Amino acid sequence: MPDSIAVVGAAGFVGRELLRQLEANGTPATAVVRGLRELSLDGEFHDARSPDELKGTRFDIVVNLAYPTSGLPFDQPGLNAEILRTVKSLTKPGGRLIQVSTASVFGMTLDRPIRVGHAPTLRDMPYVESKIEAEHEFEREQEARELSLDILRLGNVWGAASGAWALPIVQRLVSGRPVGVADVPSFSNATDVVNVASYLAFLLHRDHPPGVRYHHLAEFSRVTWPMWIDPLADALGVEPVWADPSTITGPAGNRQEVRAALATISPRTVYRRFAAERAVGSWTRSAIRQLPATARGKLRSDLVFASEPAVERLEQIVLSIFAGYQEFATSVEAGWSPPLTQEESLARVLAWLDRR
Amino acid sequence: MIKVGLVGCGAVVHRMYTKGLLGRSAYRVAFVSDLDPAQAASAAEVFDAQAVDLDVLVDQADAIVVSPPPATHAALVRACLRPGRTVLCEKPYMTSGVDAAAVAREASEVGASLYVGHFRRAFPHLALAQRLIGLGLIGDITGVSACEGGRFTWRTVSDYPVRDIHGGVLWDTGSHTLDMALFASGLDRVAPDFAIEVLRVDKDKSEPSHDFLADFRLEIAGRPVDGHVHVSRKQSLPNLIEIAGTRGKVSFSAGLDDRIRITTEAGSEIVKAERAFEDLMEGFDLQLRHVLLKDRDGDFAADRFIGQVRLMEALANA
Repeated sequence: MPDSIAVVGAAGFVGRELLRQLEANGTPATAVVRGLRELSLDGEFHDARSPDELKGTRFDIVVNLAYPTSGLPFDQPGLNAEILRTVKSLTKPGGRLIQVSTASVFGMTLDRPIRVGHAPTLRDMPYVESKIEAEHEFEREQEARELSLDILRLGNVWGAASGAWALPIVQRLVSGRPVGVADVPSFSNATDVVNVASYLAFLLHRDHPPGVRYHHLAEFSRVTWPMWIDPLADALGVEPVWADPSTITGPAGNRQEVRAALATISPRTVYRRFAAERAVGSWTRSAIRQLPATARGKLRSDLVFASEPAVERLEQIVLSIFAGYQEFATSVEAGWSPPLTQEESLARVLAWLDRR
Repeated sequence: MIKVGLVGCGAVVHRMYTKGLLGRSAYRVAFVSDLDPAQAASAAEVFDAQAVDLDVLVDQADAIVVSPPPATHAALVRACLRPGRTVLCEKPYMTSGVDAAAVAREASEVGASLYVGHFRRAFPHLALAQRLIGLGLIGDITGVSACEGGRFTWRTVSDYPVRDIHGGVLWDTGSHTLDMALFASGLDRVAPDFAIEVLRVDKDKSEPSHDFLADFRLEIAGRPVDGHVHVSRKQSLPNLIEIAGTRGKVSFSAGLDDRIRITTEAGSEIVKAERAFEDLMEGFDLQLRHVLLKDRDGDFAADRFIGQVRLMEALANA
């Protein structure tokens, strides 16, 4: 009997592509989704269920793509814990778990040492902390339940219809915002969503004994951002803008972030700055989580707390990612090669832009 | 203090109107009404308002917001019209051009002020584009193109986006996207009975569809205007609005922004609006202030949306 497979977070960009590829090679999976089925999944090949519908069900293999994508910053650890509980409840003792993680476990702007192995705890943006917490929780779970655990860290997942990269690059080009930083190495550390799904499908069909394996995937890591961006700018008929190197950030640090935030002092603005910072924002969120639930609810309803970082800080962080000082080199298992080349990946993005 | 009544207490009320109507000095929600008592009770608690039957709300509120699914708008808005009354109908305004024109006319005859909730009209970059195009910067309008797509995460109470033929992406996201193009180009100000020719429709399924692409042509004062729209709940799209004229083009984001790009024979330039919003709720808030206090430019008046409804109806039925 073939292995039963669950894909948690199947409605996202990678999840949809993975389900498409699994369907193409005749591998059924259960898509675990929270939203409306017909908006989460194309066609009828796969089964789609909500976490509630799957209570008590265990799968041979669980692929986890989910992470918190909504809610206020200080709600994210709670939302992440819910996701981790769901994933653990779906995984058989002695079964396989593939955790799809991110290069950002080495810092939102990839400013920490990269290693193919256990990632240390880091105070950073909620997205980063959620991914690190997931890795650590599943490492503990692996030991406790003798799981076969693969942690796949992805570079910048781009490709046709990539909401994280192709879309914002186009928006930046059209609105004349910087799409990178002048005179820096600018590793894009990119991986195409089609190649990501292909590697996941490859892993699903491998026999792996209990233990932990770490994989890093960014097959286009050495392709610089201008190599992706210039053709898009040509297609749009615009000139790309490059930021001055002085605009980008260094590694996260409490002291400098606090000093910068205090320069714009008022309770609301200080909170907005704090919540947006990578390091001190993390401590701020932790402090708020220590408040009683009633106090947290009041803070939320008072509308004092914004969920979005201050624009200028977010901009600096985005530009720091575009600066790409450090390469996130690929480290994958032998026997797999990416189906899409750099040229094919770019061609698909250009076709997406053309069909707008 | 203006007493506001909310007809319908679904997701948009709980997610958006709570932020736009709570804690304001000039207006407050006094009454709420919903067919689902639980939804009404929830909204009443949030706003510290009375949950009442629709007829009580209509009798007692100074201003009314109508937000249930679009197929109900014609009947509910008509029920709310009273002399001197302000009524804000959530987008999409109506599901047929006939209703759109008739209800706007009836509001005018009654002496009510009827508006439509297209808050993106308050976005700084859109207002800037509209002003500059209106000044003749790119000459006569020759084409409008609009695309917007992304994963659908909006949780409705009624599931109408997948059940109601007027719940598809064209009526939902598309009404915003098309409205940005029509507003910026000034085509919402022309007589709304322009001719519409649908040239191509490509959608993922029958209505309610979730990915909708169409080409069309409008005949306005004897001049053709080529149109293109692509909206999706299934994939990210470049999210761009482009307005072409006889002397150039204006391009800008379908999202919140403070910048537009103007391309003419002289070159391509970025123009920034005087102000920027930190989040889209500032636009929502500004729209409410315009509607409830004074819509000086008439940007949200119902008669400015009749052409848009006619266009969406033609596209959806093609």
